[in-house]
Amino acid sequence: MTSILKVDKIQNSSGASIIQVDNIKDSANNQAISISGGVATFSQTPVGAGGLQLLFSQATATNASSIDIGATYINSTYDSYYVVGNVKMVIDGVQFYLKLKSGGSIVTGNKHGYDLTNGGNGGLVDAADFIKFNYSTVGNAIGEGVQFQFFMHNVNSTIYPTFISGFFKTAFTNGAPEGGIVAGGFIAPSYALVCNGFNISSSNGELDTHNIKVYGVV
Amino acid sequence: MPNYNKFVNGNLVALTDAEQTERETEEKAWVDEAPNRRMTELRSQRAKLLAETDYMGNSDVVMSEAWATYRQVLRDITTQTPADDALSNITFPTKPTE
Repeated sequence: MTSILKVDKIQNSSGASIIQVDNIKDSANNQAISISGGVATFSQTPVGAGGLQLLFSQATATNASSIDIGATYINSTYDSYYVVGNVKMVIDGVQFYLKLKSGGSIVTGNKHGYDLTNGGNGGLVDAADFIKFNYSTVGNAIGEGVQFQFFMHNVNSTIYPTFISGFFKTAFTNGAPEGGIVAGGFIAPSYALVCNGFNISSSNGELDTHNIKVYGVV
Repeated sequence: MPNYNKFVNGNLVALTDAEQTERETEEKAWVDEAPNRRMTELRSQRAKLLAETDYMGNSDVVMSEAWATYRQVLRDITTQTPADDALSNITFPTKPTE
């Protein structure tokens, strides 16, 4: 026999109207939300809630030639991603490159393009193997490097080319910082490429300390 | 010299020999391209400085000898060879005060 309790309010012992629970579970007794000290803690990442879902986060001081994010994170789950991070270089006077991946590999054959603007300077390329972020080359002293953020869109589209739109700031120890805007992605003839990752590197030498976070945009 | 490493989805792995060769090719291209890259930057900076005084060439403006000399020195600046990306050895002309 099923019993159903119907009430229009729940009161505490003082007569104040409240709903007081410590946890919310599904019918299989799996806890979804716990509430303690006025703080709600979700047992799993909410589905269908919208917003940004943190997929990947790393902060390290270990040198590497590049940071490669693959199909484990960039896949059909989301069409748009937000990436934010910092990179310090090992070698002085280099550039920051972003390369898109498709089919598990970095796309080559001059299929990247970008329009980079920094103050009155900039660069516009429609046949590259990378998307360049900073205008002047980047130093490798402590405190120098590139701080960046970008959105990736259309990663699963075979109609519209994957594109990125972002901002960057280059920090120098002996000069004013440079900021700028960059938009890029696969060039028009490569519209059908599905993007399932990206790779961050420098034009020469390894990356030094870096941190990066990748979010899926619901 | 051992191959570089790279982070793949957060895990540090060594480049394959093919990846290492590709990387070294890319790095060599960057180094080899330096003279052209620096000369392009020099021309870019020259173009901005010339553009600032282009209006002086209008028919209703009389350009002084000093400004004409300034612009000519700018036009000839590519006879100098940049030694680094910062163009630190390049001598740009001083803007006339008149």
